Amino acid sequence: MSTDNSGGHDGTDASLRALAYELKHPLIRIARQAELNDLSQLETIQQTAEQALRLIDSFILNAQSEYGQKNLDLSPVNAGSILYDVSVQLRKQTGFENLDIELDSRATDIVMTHKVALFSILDAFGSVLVDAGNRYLIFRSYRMKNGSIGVGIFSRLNIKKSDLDIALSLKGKSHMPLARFSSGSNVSLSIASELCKSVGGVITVKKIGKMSGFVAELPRSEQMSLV
Amino acid sequence: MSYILAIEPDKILGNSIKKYLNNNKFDVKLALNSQDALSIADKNKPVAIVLELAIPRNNGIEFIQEFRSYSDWISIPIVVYSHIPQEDIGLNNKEWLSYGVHEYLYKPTKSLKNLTSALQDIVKP
Repeated sequence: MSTDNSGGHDGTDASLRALAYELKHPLIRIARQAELNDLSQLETIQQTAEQALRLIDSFILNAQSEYGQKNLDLSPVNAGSILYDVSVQLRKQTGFENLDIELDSRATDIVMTHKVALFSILDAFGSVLVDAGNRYLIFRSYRMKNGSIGVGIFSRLNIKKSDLDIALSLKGKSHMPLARFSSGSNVSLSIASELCKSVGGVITVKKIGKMSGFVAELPRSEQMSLV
Repeated sequence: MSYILAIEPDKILGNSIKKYLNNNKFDVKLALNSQDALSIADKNKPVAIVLELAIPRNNGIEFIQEFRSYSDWISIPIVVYSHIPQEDIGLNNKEWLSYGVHEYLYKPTKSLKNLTSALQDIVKP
């Protein structure tokens, strides 16, 4: 990983350590839910396990891409459909009945990008915002002035750009929050950032009125419009 | 009505805690953050607190300090049930006791059964 990490460890060590901290939450959930010995909990246990697996998958995908063991293949992707899939997934895994998700797909073009990477990036955005206690999310895709596609998740939280910089560095533990808007180690956000870079994109914090959120901008050079 | 106030930001885990304690004859109210917890406690005093120290926009130690600042709540026992290892907090046993923390249970290694036992030592279901 290209993220700077102090303390004499290389990036992979640092992100592995942060990943382990991040995985603690879903594994605790699974263990304690299993203790209930209640078959009706099976679905929740499965969703939590899938959440943990996706985090590991993202890490592996990112590490493979970073070290050249795997090229991220471009495939035709509809940004709107990815937003929808992630919103459904996020609602399932949070278990919050009052999680309000609004879909706002302004750009519905089919573009060439890496579908799994894009899913992981959006999933990480949503997870960070929900972890921060937010219950209202807007999933939005739009075409930017330079022709790029932007996909992002916005919330009522007021995120500062300086917080994002801190969040993207892997220097903390899950219980020592790196940024005020998140209670976790932000490893998922860091992985998302690296994945975004690997598909030629960039992650930024955008503000729309009182709304703040993350946007992954996929550059035009990586997009071959199929329409 | 006597009840245990569980402060757990993870709603799924919170529901598991509530269900397990309910099965063991404890009445439980859940709070996702410290503000909710104070508001619930203000309406009806709990008999014990189960506390995750990592709570959004606050931390558990600050919550304990605020909670203890109200004279009505000074004697309410607290059981910490957290994913943070106790040694990472940097408090010794005497300091924990001064906060009224009767037991510190580390989530990854302490089960809901352990939590129930700790509560049974403090309050009768």
